[in-house]
Amino acid sequence: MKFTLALTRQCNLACTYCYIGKTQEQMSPETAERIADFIFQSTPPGEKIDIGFFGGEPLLEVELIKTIVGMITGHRLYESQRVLFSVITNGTLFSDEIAASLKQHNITLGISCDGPPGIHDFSRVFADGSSSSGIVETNIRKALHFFPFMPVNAVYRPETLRFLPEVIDYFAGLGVRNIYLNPDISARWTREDVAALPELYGSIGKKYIEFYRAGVPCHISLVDSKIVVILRGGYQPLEKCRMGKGEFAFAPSGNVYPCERLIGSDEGGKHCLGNITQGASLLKSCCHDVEHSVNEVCSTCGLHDYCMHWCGCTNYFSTGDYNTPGPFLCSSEKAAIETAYGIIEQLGREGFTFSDHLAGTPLMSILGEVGALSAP
Amino acid sequence: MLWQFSEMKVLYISVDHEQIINKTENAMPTNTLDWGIRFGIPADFWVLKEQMVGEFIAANKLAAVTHEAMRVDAHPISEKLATEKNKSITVDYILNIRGGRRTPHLHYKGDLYILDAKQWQSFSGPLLKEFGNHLAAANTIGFENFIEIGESISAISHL
Repeated sequence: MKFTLALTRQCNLACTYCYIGKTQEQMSPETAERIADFIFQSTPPGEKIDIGFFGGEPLLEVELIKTIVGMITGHRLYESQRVLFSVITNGTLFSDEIAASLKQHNITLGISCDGPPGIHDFSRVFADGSSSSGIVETNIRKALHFFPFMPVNAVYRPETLRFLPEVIDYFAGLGVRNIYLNPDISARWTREDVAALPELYGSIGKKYIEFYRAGVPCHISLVDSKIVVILRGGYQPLEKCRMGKGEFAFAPSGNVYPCERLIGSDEGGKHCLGNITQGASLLKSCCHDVEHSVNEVCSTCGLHDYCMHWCGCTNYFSTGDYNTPGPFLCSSEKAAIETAYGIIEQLGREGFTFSDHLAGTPLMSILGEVGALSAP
Repeated sequence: MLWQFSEMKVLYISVDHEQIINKTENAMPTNTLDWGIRFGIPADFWVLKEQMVGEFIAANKLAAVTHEAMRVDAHPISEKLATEKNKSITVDYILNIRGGRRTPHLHYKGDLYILDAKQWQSFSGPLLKEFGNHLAAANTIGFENFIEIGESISAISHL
């Protein structure tokens, strides 16, 4: 089960694509306590619990993070081997003191950075419009000393899509071994963008091969997850989007959403399942059904089992329906799968086996995967 | 209901005997002390493909690894073995990024089987061939489809 807590709606950055409406609102300890109870009540016995601290900027609320970790670890149903904590930060507030505190509380870290300065600062700037790339780069280098396999999450947009290979080079140069690439799902992707995907992902695949041959493999999300899925014969039921069933996001107000990407301005509305302070029993169920595609194109597609056509939030932003994917997702998934297949064939001829991928996981969430990779 | 259990494939793990039984179940088991239940983590390839793995081992007359140092990760549920004693094994898994041993190998009924490169190619070949057939049958959602879908959603969204 995955639980994302948006601790605050405040942020010191003003990223142009941010889907969280900014206010001064913070989560109260009382609300957090209700969430802690909900987490243990709603998680089936024995299942792992991924708790992600999110925002706004969660490191503005370090003390609240510690308080909530205390609530969880002090809960009567707490079992240390089941619970993973992670925090995703914009990378501007990181310090040695914060690193020590996160490690002390067994919280793993991920940093959002879109790539080299010219790309990062295209979207991720301070409220006054000034650059954040310098401080984020410094903090990524610093954070890697504390968290060597720390994932870095890069969002790409139509304007920055064509620089993805440079983004990979930049992160590899910083020593980042765990690179997540995510499209801005709310962007207006064009036919030209979609047409460029196979070549761009192919370029990323070539870099992946270079790293592999050099003996310093990088985890690149869109490649590695598909290698895993190809070798394992597709996504298994519990590896798919479980929004509103195995995944919940909490706004500072206590409103519950099926996915953190759907919190938005937290105005309630059709995504909101209810408010945790009014009791978990009053929450609505989510209508997303990952097993049933509504369009024939997907249900008859040969890649149906290998594709993330079931990602409810991506679909919603593209077509207005949780169950209906749009052309960008379709083309992106196909290009990623073809790239991964090409890599397996190419490196397979050179004697690389990918047997470690066979036993691995194709988890799609950076929040969950941070913990899975860094569990003490 | 906060989650759905309908016809969900569930893997039961006997902690005592480290045997894994594949079972379909409609509801949660009442006794979770002796039987761990795995929701939300990936189904284990070695369990899902157990028959195929077993047939390959028999056909190639593979022998299980007997050296204890090699056997510590012979169990699919590696985190259950992550005790202080073998913590270095867990670290090795993390270093491999994806979590698995790089040396070509198979897990079968609690035993570990090491493969050479040729045997691995032989094992993985059918998996990749199966995928190649799927890839050849891929469809595409074009922008034309997208407009049709959008119109369909608009048409029903007010109902």
